[in-house]
Amino acid sequence: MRLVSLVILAILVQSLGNVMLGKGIKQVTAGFDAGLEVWKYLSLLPSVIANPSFLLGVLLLIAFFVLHLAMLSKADLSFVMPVTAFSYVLIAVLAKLILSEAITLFQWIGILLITVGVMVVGMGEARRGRKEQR
Amino acid sequence: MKSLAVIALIVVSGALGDIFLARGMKQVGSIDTLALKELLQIARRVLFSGFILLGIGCMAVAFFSLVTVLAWEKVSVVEPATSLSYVINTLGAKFYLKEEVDLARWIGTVLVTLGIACLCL
Repeated sequence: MRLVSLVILAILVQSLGNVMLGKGIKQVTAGFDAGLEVWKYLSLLPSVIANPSFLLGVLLLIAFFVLHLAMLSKADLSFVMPVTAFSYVLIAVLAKLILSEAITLFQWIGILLITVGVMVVGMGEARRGRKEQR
Repeated sequence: MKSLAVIALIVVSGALGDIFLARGMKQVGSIDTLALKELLQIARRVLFSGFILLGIGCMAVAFFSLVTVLAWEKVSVVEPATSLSYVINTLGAKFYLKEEVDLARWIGTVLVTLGIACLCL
C-alpha cells in the first residue's frame, strides 16, 4: 500500500475509533457522577465492556496501532507524527457531528494551526520527493 | 510540583514510546506485502523486537501516569501540556534516529503542537 493511502486510512481509523470510544463511554456514564473518586467508576466496567460503540472504538484503535507500525516501517517518525496529528482536527469535527459537542473559537484556531502544520509537512515532503527523483 | 513532575513523565515517556517503535519498525523493515503468510512472519518479528516492546512499555508508563495525574488536575490543564511530546518526538527523530529533519517538518511540528494545545484548552 502506498504511504499516502496508509496515512489517510490511519487518520480515518484513529478518529472514528476515538469518537466511538467517546460515544460508548458517554452512553454508559450518562447520569453517573462520582467526581474525583475514580475507583467508583470501576462499577461501570461490565457495562462499558458490553457497550457496542466502545468495543468498536477499541477494535478501530487496535487497527490504528497496526497501521501506525506499518507507517513507521516505511516512513520517518518526523513525518508520520505531525501528519497523523490531523486526527485531532477530524475528531473535533466528528465529535461535533456525531456527539453534538460544541467547538469554541479557541478550538477553531487550533484546528487551523494543525491543518496548516500538516500542509507544510506534506508540501515539504512533495518537494523532497521531486528532489530525489532528479 | 508533584503534578508537574508526572506531566513531564507523560510527555517524555509518550515521546520515547514512539521513538522506540520507529526504531523497531525500521529494523523489521518496510511492510509492502498483503500476503497472509508474509504478514504473519512480519507480525512475529514485530512481537519479538526489543525496541517495539520497549516502546509499548514506555507508552504504558505514559498511560498510567496520565490516569494518575487526572485524579489531581483538570483534563484541560494536562492535555495541552502533553502536546509537547510532538517536539520531543521530532528532536528524538533528528538526534537519535538520525532522520533528515528539514525546515518544513520543524514548522509543521511547532504548528501542530500549538494547535493541539489550543484544541485542548
